[in-house]
Amino acid sequence: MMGKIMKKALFSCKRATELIDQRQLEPLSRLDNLRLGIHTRMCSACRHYQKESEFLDAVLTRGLSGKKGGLSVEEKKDLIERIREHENRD
Amino acid sequence: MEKNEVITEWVRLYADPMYDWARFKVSDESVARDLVQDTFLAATIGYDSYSASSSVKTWLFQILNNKIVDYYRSRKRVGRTTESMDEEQAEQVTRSFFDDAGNWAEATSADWADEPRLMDNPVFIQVFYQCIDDLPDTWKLAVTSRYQQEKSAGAICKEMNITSSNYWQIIHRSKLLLKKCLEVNWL
Repeated sequence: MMGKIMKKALFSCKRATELIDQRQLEPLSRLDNLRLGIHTRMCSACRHYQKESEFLDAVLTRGLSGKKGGLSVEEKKDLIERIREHENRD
Repeated sequence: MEKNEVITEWVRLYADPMYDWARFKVSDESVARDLVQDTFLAATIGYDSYSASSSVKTWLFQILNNKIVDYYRSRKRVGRTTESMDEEQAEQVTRSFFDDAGNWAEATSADWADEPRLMDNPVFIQVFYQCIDDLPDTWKLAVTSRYQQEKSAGAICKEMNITSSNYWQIIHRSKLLLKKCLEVNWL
């Protein structure tokens, strides 16, 4: 736990975790970056959160760019065929 | 263009990324194929209700994501402790992470983030996606738009009609919930 003054200068943990996630979406000001850097260096819980946040990012990104194969040409033809069949049935 | 031609074009353009996404989420090729097919059938039926206010890709992925959620709902879910929450409940949960002074309310010792190999573990991935399913719908949409469709924050904000500070708050809170969900369901 950090002292009150330190916390004012270096953010609360609540604020620090917000900024950790915000930083992945848009750049922080240089001052905020510096303050956040010092905070995480001093605070193991927020360091841990940062790791978790990066891990979540990696898993989510991987969902997108991981094993990619798509459908084969045949499978796509099949798919279109079945959609047409379905259409004509109605 | 005729409706049939349009749908055929959509299959050509979007079936592959949809299939990859579905396969990743359900870890089963034939289920993924069925889900993509169901999505296109639903899109054919709902064709007239599609309005150009969102992109075709977004619309199709929304349908697909609903199908994936249904798929998981229809299966017996093991180790599930949370139900999909509404936004208010979800915000309350994320607030409870910190005390009034903004300190962590409780220290966590979870170390799933230290094991990069977990990403290759299909059981973990399944738990992970159940956790995503448990997010409030709007949060889920924000998260999946960002990561699955590689959309810019600006485009997502415009589509969801939220400000950019709203948007990163949603992403932040979603991550807190995912963290909690993994701590409960994975350890």
